[in-house]
Parts: sequence; C-alpha cells; structure tokens
Amino acid sequence: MIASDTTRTQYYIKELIRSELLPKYVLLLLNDSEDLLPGQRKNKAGGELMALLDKKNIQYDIAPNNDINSNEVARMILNRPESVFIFSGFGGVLLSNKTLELGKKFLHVHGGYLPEYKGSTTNFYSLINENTMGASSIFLTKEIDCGPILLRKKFLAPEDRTEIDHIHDSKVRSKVLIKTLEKYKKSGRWDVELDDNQGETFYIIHPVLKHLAILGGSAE
Amino acid sequence: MIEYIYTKTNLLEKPNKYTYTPYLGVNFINMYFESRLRHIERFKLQEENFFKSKTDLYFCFNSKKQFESALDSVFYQIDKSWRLLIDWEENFTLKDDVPASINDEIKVLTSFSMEEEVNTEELLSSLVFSQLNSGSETLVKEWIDRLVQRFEVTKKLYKVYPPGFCKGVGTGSIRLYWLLALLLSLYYAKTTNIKYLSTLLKVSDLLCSLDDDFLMNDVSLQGLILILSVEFLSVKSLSYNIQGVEVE
Repeated sequence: MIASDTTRTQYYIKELIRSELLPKYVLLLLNDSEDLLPGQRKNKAGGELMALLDKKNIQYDIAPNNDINSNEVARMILNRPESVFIFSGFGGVLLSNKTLELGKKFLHVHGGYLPEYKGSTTNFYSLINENTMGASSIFLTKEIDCGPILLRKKFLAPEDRTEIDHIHDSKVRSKVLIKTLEKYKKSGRWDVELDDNQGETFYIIHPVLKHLAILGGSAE
Repeated sequence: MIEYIYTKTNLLEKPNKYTYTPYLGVNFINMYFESRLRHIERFKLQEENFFKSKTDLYFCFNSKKQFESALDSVFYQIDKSWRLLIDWEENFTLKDDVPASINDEIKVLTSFSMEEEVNTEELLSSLVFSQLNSGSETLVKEWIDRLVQRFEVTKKLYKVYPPGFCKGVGTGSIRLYWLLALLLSLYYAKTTNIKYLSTLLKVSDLLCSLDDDFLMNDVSLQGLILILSVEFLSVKSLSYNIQGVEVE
C-alpha cells in the first residue's frame, strides 16, 4: 500500500485491520511541513498511522519525500516485490506516466460512481442530482478515472452531510475497497465489473453548490 | 461574521483553486445572494452601462428569450417577482436597435479544429451563436467541455490555443470571461447539468472580483448584469426547499 497521512488513509487502514485484510507492506508519504495538504484534517498524523501499523506488525517504510512521482519514491516502489499497490494519496495528486509505467498496478478507490461521475468532488454533484454518494475501485491509467472498474457501489446520503470531505467520502471508499479485496481474495483474480469510460468529468465543486449539496439533506 | 470571500481579491491576479472549501452553514448561501445583488447594483449604477457592440446586444437580447423560457420550464419554483431581474424594460437601456442577424461577424462552429490554432474570442462567439440558433448539440458540448477543462485547470482563458487545445498563449481579454459566462448560463438553462453551473459561479466570481475600470474597457455591463441575474436565479431555484435561505 502507498499511503499519505490523510484521514482517508486512516479509514482505509482501520477497515483493512477490522476486515483482517492486512497489507503486506505500507510505504508512508508523510507531510513534514506546517501547512496541511489536500485530504489532511490535521498536521503530522503520521504518528497515529505508524502506531496502527506497529500494533498489527505491518511492515512499513517512510518515503524520503511525500511526492509519489519523485525518483526516490519510484525507486522504492520498483524495488518492492508486490505487483499491486493500494493507492491512497493526497487530494488531487495524479500519478505521472513515469510512475504508471513502473510495471506495478495501482488500485485506487474513486469517490464517485463511475463512469457517470468522473473527476473531482463528484459526491457533492451526485448528492444534488440524485441524493446518493458513490465509490468505485479502479486500476489507475493515464486517463483520469478511466481505468477498468473493478467494483462500484451507490450509497444513500448520510443523515449529517457536514462531514462529507473527511468522514463520509472516506467511509464509502473504504467499504468499496474492502469489498474489492474480498472479491479478489475469494476468486484470486481482479475481475472487471465494467470497462467503459463514457460519462461526464466534473471539476472541484463551487462552494455555493457544495453548501446546497450539504444543506439539501438537513434543515438548519 | 460569515462573508462571501470569493470575490474579495482580484482572481485574475490570485486565482482560487476552491479545494476543500469550508462548510459555513446556510448563512453562507444568504451571503452569496447578498454579494451577487450588490454587484448587480454596482454595475447598474455605472454611466457606461450600455451595450458596447451590436454583437453583445444581439447575444443578450436573444439569450434573454431563452432564459425566460427556462424560467417557465426549469426554474419554475422561483417566485415570479424575481423575474424582474431579467426584465428588459426594467434593467436594460438600448441605444441601438437589436440587429436582426450577425451571421457575417460570426465564424461557423464547424470551421474550428483541434488540429489548428483556435482564436478563443471567435470560438466563444461562435458557440454562443450556435446555442442561440440551434447549432449541433454534440459539437457545442465538445467545445464547451474543452473550454471548461482549460478554465478549470488554469482559472484563466488565453487569447489563442495552439493545435491540440492545451496550453493557451497570450493574455485573454475580460470579454472572453463574459462570453464564457454567457455560454455557460445558456448551456445550464438548457441542460440543468450542475457541472456547468459550478464553472459559471467561478467565472462570475472572477468577473465580480475585478474593478469597474478594468471591466468597463472590455465588457458590456448590461451583459454582465444579465449573466449574474441568470446565475442568481439558477442558485435560487436549487435552494428553494432549503430552510433558512432568505433573500430580500
């Protein structure tokens, strides 16, 4: 697993532990600066992640920097024997072609129901459109959110929508991650549910619409 | 005190990426409405508040007809009194007659190609014209999606886009942003696809963040009032069942 110190990674690791689907190895990308990176709710949460991994004796390394596309991190990925990595990066980070060509597969869970909702912050759009959230597991490819879809699921809107960014989005992604891994564990294959990259690409939602998506479900 | 902060600084100089914006409760929506109405009033008060070109006049006059029809079919939840925002007699002063046609000034949409350099103003004008005159929907969407992608990535529009339509070249005039906003408001009124309303809100933020002098050189303020009003009504329509949303 390649894991940045974000709230989503915390959810992933806790759910993996709970479901007894422990990763063989975790490469941690930590943010040492004082400024938060996209996907972080608090600074320097790496300690909590390491405590979780230590508790379950999961092997991990701390990458020399937090850029997955750097030569140093690429070398570490390349030198690992694993062929598939769960990827949980900082918000908005895209894998460079060079990283995608390392000969490894990167399993990513997109926050949105693919292929209808590609791009960024799509769960806010689907909340406005149809009162649902979604998550889809894919192998990353050069085109954003266009890789073969391994598993996808729609979820009813949460009662309290004020914590979608850090809690509910992470929760629904974790559920799909676990389902995907369970499916793989059972069959020994990465079966593709859908290989279709039609659909709309969305961009970061404007704060006014984000508020409407949140307020649409609850009266203040 | 909750403020609508997204128009406070010049967004051409300091673009906003809108990543992980905080949730501030229903008052944020009210502050947005208040801010937009303030900007509409600001543009109404300008002496230079008239259409600078026949093309702009044609675009706005014909767009208004489409917006009125959307008010009946799409934004029907809105109280009829808000219609006054786009009422022609109420808000717009005409110094010239509306031209019957501007065909000679507009390049046909099929003449633009990804393999050739694209002049952004010509493309935007052609797209608005196509929208007003029932042009090919597939082609219109293809080009709108390319423009939206370029704006969302850079938060800017450039004067020309070289073959491939990726990295733009040359500083774009403010009129480009107004044309994009008009195009997006027409497309949203037609499709109600929230994706385009989201980008419209960002383009409007950018336009509202600019000083009067800067705007008046390039944009017909009445045209600006029109697109801000349509955006306002679109958001109003989406928020009709949300408790605590109050606009006066």
